[in-house]
Amino acid sequence: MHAALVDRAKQGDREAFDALARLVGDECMAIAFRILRDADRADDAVQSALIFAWTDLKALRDHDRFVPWLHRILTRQCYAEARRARRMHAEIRVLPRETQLESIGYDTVVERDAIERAFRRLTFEQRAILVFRHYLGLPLDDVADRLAIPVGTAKSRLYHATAALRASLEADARTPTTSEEQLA
Amino acid sequence: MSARPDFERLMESFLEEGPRALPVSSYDAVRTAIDQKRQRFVFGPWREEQIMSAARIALGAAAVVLLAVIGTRFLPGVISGPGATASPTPASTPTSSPLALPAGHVDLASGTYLITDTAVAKAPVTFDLPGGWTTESAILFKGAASPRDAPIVFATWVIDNVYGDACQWQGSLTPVTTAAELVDALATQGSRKVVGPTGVTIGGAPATMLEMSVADGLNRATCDAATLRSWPDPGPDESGGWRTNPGEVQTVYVIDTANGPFVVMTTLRQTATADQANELRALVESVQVDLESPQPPATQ
Repeated sequence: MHAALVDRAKQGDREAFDALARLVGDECMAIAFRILRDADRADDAVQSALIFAWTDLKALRDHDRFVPWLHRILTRQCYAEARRARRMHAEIRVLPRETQLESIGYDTVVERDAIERAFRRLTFEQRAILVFRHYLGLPLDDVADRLAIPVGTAKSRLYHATAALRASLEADARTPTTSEEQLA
Repeated sequence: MSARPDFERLMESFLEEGPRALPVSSYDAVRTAIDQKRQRFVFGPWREEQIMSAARIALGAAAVVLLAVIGTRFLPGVISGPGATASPTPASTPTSSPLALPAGHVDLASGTYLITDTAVAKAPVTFDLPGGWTTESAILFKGAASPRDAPIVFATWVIDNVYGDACQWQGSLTPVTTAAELVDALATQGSRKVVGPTGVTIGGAPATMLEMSVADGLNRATCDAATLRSWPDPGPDESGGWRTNPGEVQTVYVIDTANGPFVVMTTLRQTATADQANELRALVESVQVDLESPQPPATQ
């Protein structure tokens, strides 16, 4: 279905592109948020990516590759969004109640807070590879394709991203007092 | 409760959190935006679908042709260079030898032209020009009285500073000395949407291409001096430089030479007809950069 819409959209059919965007936009938002950890910025990145995809669609030769191609554009927009001057606003994060934590995989609020801090310490490139590999569940070849990097680089980056995340969590675990104080 | 967190469980639980849907208002905004945007014509067989990662920007000594960025250029005066002569009338007949691009504001006859002015190109650049083009300070344009309004524009630029933000540009200059720095500065310029960097070739020379436009929804009136600026003249001289406007697409190719990088730029505005777009494409395809004879650095 994507291929037919892509074909029509390449010929300038805006309705077809609109339909295509609505098929793929939600997943793009999910990816962008998990890289940027900011809903507003993710929204901006997705909008930019979709608009770029429209203007550049004629360059896409293989219609079946629309999604990987779009994901590459999206990733670049996320990186660009991350580099732009940060908006000065307070991020209010709603922490899940203790009773909800187990149902979503956490043992404690401390645990949840720790993984978030650790994730935010990663570079955006490291976050992206974890998102494509562990959130979307893509094989490494596809991850490399979407990030426009060689498979070897993807393998290395995934290893280092995982190691960095793990090390950050372990470092936090050695300072439990600090974490609990932050929850007070 | 677990005595020690399961790392995999933690990571996957964390990644599961968060929104999974784009707001309806955002879809509507995209639709509104594409209703006002034309699709870009693909220039030449050398345009690659593969998007190069930022890590490939460093092409070393490889030439990168940077194709035009859309915008208007403001130069304080006439650019002159070796062999350049100002003439109020167009050249009479195209010759087999390239014609030196004249300085000043000149209506050009069709023919093959040569840019050797080191103020705008670090290596000799030749290209084939059909009739109807005009040059103003080495900015070529067609279809209007000024490059600020013309639907198609072609130029080369030497860039030694880039604005960190095209809208809030005051005080945001970043010096660039290498091709990699230049590409990175352009790729991350604020208030912009950039596609690329993309590895391409022009006339057999490897190049890095970026396609730049203004971020959606940006109101130029909110920008410094109500203008959007890409980069100043070399120096930096902020009385000149490239400006841009919403709705324009700049395609920039960076060329690295022994004397440093320069760019070839094209601008395609929404007012361009299909014939004009094709003409611009053909012009780009005719570009040749003589990397074997890079121009000597300009004398101070």
